[in-house]
Amino acid sequence: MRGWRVVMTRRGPETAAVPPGSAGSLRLLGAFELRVAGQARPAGPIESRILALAGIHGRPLTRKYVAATVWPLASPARAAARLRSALYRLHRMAPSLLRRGGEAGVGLAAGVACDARELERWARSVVTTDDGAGGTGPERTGVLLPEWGDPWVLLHRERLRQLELEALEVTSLRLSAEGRHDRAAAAGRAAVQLGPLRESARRVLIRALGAAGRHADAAREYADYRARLRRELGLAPSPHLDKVMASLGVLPSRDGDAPVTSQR
Amino acid sequence: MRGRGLEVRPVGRQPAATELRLLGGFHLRCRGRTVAPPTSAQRLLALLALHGTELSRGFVAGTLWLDSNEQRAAGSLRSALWRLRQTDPGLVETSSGSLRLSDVVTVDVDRMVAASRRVRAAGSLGQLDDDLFAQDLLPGWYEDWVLVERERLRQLRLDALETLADRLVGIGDYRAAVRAAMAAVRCESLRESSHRILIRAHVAGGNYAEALRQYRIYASLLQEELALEPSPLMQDLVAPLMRR
Repeated sequence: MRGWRVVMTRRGPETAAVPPGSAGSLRLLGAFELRVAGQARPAGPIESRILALAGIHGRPLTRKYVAATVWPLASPARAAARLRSALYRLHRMAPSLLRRGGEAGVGLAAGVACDARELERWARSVVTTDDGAGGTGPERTGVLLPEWGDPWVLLHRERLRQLELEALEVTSLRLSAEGRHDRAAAAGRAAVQLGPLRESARRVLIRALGAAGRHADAAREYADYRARLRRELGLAPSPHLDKVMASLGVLPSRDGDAPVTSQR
Repeated sequence: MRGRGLEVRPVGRQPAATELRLLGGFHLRCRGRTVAPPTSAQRLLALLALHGTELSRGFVAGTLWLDSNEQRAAGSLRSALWRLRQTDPGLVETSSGSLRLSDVVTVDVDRMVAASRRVRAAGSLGQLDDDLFAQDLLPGWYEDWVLVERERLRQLRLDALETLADRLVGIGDYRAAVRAAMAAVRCESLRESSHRILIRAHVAGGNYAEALRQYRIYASLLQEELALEPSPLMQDLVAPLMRR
């Protein structure tokens, strides 16, 4: 009884009644995969796109929006008709995947888990609160639907990537501030793996390594970043990174690299 | 047990009020329960919510039933009002000649407008719920009074987000600046000024590779959707990064 009360007040009646994942799970990170009752289910390109849209947004979408996104070149009437038949096919394939009551919009049913949604929820909770290191991270991370070329996927992919990177960097900085340098370095390392050419990720990692007394590792990270940036983009690190290196007592030489000039 | 659980309300908060969401679609919750009034009642409620003030019956009927004559429009209004009362008697306050949304109804548009003002005034991203900023007003509704409001709200939040992102770059909070600019891009994916601010935020934070990556995403979207090239302003912005 008491347990119910706690769950209800924290998560709201709609989500608490059905545990996430009980009706199926949708994987969008790294690759698309749909599982229902523990079994992988094949889904055609159209069905996959509808499920992915619903999963990424995490709230019901109007049919018009879904139709216009999935069939940007079709006339509204044609797109609406195609959507109707795709929703019918989805319903035949797995009736518990989408919310009931199509009038309210297209959305995943309460019991369907989605890894991209979990990742976003975690990252958002880290970057919008001022304390805590985000608890345990999400179960899965990775690039959103890396093989899909749809424009809307491109935008969500980058948005989610930036959000995850920000969350990892913020987590690393908070752990550093608490003196937990090894965990701070691990979070920084995860950010660097996601964005090897991203300087702010390198900076938090280098700071964490420096704070842990691992100056040789910090210098190695610096050298690796600098070499990559020069090889791939022909650019030199920014003054922000120079400052971090100077604070560690390592004064980088410029070797004739020209810094990027101010952009305004 | 479940039934009782559902009625438990969070301790120390107001009793679950009536919540109307118009961003991202019409969604009404009365006393913690989702309800779906008929279309005519939805339109009436949305119009009252968007205006916020008292409206004359004549104005409401004329706006919602543009193509009917006065008498028929008044009749349609009476029936919509009746349906709304069937949904929940406390949604609308009526007096002889006018209607207004009851104070117990909270509206997400109001929250979004207040958040835009706060953002512009304080320049703090803080708890900014960029989901609140990502959604359009009543997508799929094509009446004039909705279109005008949709555009106004879109401009309002784009201005707020771009101003905020600029200011965050100014105070050196590049991560938050990127998030604010990204929210603007999410509102309107082909608006170049938002992409430029996003790219500037990356560059100012020393993330040159991220800036180039965003530039390429923008350029490919623009090519794909409109077969256009980025403007000279944009090209000048990224030129110093294009060494190879």
